[in-house]
Amino acid sequence: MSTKVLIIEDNEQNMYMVTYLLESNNYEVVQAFNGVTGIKKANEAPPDIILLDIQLPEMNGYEIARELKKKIKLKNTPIIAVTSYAMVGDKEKALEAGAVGYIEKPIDPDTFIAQMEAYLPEKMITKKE
Amino acid sequence: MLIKKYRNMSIKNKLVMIIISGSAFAIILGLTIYSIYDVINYKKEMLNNASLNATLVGKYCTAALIFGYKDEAAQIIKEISEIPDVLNACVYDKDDKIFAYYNRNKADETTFSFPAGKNTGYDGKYLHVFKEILHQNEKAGVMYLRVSTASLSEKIIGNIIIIFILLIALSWPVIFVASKLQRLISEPILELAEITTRVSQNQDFSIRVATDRKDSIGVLYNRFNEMFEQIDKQQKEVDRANSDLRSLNEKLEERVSQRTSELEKTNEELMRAEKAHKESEQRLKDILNHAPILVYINDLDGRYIFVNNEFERLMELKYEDVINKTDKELFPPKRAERNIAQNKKVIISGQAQIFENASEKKDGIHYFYDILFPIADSSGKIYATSGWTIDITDRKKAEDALKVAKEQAESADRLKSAFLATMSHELRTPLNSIIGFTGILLKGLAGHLNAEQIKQLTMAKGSGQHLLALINDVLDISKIEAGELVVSSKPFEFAKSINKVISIVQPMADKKGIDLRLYLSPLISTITSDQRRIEQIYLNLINNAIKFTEKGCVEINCHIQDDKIVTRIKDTGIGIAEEDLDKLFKPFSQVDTGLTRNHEGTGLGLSISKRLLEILGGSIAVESKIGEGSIFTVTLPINGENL
Repeated sequence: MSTKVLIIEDNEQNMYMVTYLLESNNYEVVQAFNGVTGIKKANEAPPDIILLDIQLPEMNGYEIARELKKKIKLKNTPIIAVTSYAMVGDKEKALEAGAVGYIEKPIDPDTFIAQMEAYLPEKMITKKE
Repeated sequence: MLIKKYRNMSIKNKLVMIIISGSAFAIILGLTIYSIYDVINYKKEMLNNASLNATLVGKYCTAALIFGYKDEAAQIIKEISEIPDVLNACVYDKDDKIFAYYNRNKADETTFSFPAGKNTGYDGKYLHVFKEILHQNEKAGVMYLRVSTASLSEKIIGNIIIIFILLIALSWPVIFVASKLQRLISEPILELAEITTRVSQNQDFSIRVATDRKDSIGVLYNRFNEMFEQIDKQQKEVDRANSDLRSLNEKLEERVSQRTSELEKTNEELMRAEKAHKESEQRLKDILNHAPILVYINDLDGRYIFVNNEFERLMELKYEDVINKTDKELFPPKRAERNIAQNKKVIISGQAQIFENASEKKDGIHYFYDILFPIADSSGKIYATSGWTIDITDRKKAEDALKVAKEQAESADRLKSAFLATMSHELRTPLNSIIGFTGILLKGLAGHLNAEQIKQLTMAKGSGQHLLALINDVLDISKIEAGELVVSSKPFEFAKSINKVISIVQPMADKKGIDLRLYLSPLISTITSDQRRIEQIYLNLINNAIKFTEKGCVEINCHIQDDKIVTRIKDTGIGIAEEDLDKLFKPFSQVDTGLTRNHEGTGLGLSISKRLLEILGGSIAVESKIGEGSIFTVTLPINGENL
C-alpha cells in the first residue's frame, strides 16, 4: 500500500507541481483546493501525511490545521505547513496550530521530497526507482 | 542790700566783720549804759544841788519872810546868781503868793511867769525845784528855782563823743585781733574750700584733707574725708556704671545702627520687592491683556474681578461693565448656569478643570476650551477662580480633518499591509511555479533534455530566482520602512547558523576558486536573536564578499567582545571607493562599477542588512580600499531578548 499524501492547496500550478513531484516518487496524492474539502477528505480517508498551504482564501491554513487536529483519526497524522518565505511568524503560528514541520516556498524540486520525507516514519518512505 | 553784699563776702572778711560788729556792739552797749548811768547820776546830782541850794536860800529867806521884808528877801535871792545854772528864783509866801523873785536874764522879766504848781522835776528843757521853807516845823513859804539843763545836754553830747572816740580807738586792736583770730576758723575752711575746689575742678575724690585736729574742724575734715571717700566710691561706681552704660550704649548704638542698616536693607528689599511686585503685576496684566485667549477671574460669589482685553473683545463687553458683575447679570440664563456650575466644580474639587463648550455665534458654532483653576491665598484657602478660554473652533476643525486624515492614513496603512501581504503571495506564487517547473524539467523527470534545453532552462530558472530574490528584498525593505517588520527573539546556536550559511555559499566559492575561511571563537555558543534574519544578514554579506572577489580569499572571523558577537568579513575583492562608502547602505544604490552585470544583485541586500541589524540591536561598519578588498564588521548583542 502506497503512502497517501493529502495536499491542501488553492493554486492549480502549485498543486500540479507538488502532485507531479510526489507521484513521480510513487506517492499517492489526494487533492483538496480548499480547507473545507481538505478536512472532509481527510476525515473520510485519513492520509498518512498532510501538506497544508497556509495562505488560502476563506479558511486559512492555521484554522484548517486546528480543525484537522481535532479529529481523533488524524491525531497522529503529521501536518507539514507549506509557507512563504519572509512571512515572519508563519512557521511559529503553524507549529502552534498543530503542524509538525514546514517547507518553504518556492518549492525546490531537488529537495522537496527529502524535506517532506524528513517528517515521515521510515516505513512510509516510498522506494525510489 | 547789705545782707546781699555780706553774703558775697569772703569768709575771712565775714569773720572779721562778725568780730568787729560784735566788738563794736559790745563797746557801744557798754559805753551807752555807762553814759546813761552817768547822765542819770548827773541829773540826780543836779537835782540834789538845786534842792540844797533852794533849801539854803530858803533858810536865808526865812526871817525876811516871817517879818515880811521883801527887799531883804530879794537881796538874798539875788545871791543865787552865784549859782551858774539857776535862771530864775522865786519865794512864795505861805499862801503861795510870790514874795520875792529873781530873773538872771532881763528878758525873763516880761516873758517868764512863775508856775502856780509845785511839782519838782524836769520838763525837758529845765529843772524845776520847789522847796518848802520851814520855820519851827511850820510852812513859812516855798522856794522855787528854775535851773537850766544845758549842762546836762553838754554832758550827754560829751559822753557820745567819748563813746565814738573810744569806739574808733578800740576798733584797731579789735580789727587786728579779729584778723588774727579769724584765721583759726577761716583758714581750715578756706583750706577745705580750696581742697573742694581742687577736687571739684579735677574731679579727683581721692584727695584727702590732712588733719590731726580733734575739734569741730577736725570733725569737719574727717566728715569731708568720709564724704570724699563716699563720693569717690560713688564716683567710681558711677564711673563704672557710666562705663558700663557707655559700653552698653555703644553696644546699643551698634545694634541700633546694625538694626537700622538691616532695616534699611529690608526696606530697600521691600521697596525692590514692591517695585518688582508692581512690575510683575503690570507684566502679568500686559501678558494677560495681550494673550490671544480669554482670561478672567471670579471671586467666590462669582463676581468678575478681572477680565483681559480678549475677553472684552470677544464678549463685546467693556471691562467696567463686567467687573463686579456675576454671570447671571451678564449672560443668558443657560450660559450663566453653566459657568456657575463649572466654577462650583473647581471650588469643590480644588483642582483645575477642563471644559469644552460649544456656543452659537454669528458665524456658526464655536468651540471653546475652558481651563478653570482655583486661586488660593498663601494659606491655601481658595478665594477666587480663574479661567482661560480658548476658541478652538479652528483647531477642532483641524482636529476633525486630522482625524479623517488619520483614519484615511490608517486605512491606507491597512491597505498597504494587505497589499504587501497580497503582493508577497501573489508575486511569489507564479514565480514559484516557474522556478519549480523549470526545476522539475531540469531534473529530467518529464523526459530527457538536450544540452541547449538544459542551458536555456537553467537561464530561465536563474532569472526566476533572481526575480524572486528581488521581490523578497523589495518586500523586506517596504516592510522595514513601513515599520511592519517584526523580528522574533529566541535562543539558538550561533555556530550552527553560520555553518548553515557557509554550507550555502561554499559551492559558489568553490566554483570561483576562492578560499573561504571561518574562524569561530570557542566562547561563542547560544545567542538570543532572530535566527532567520541573522542567517539572512550573514548570507547576504558572505555572498557579497564571494561575489565581488575574483581571486584570493574570504575570511570570516567571529569573536566575543563586551557581550557582543563581532564578526569581521574580509575579502580580497574589488573594494569600494571612499566616496561610495556612505551610499553603500542606501537602498537601490549598488555601487555602479560597470561590473553590475557580473555581480547581479538587487542592490537592497546591504541596506536590508543594516536596517535589520539596527532592529536587532546591532550595527554594521565597513572599511575598504579599491582594488584591495573590503572588511565588513557586524556587531550583534548576544542577549537580544528585549527586542
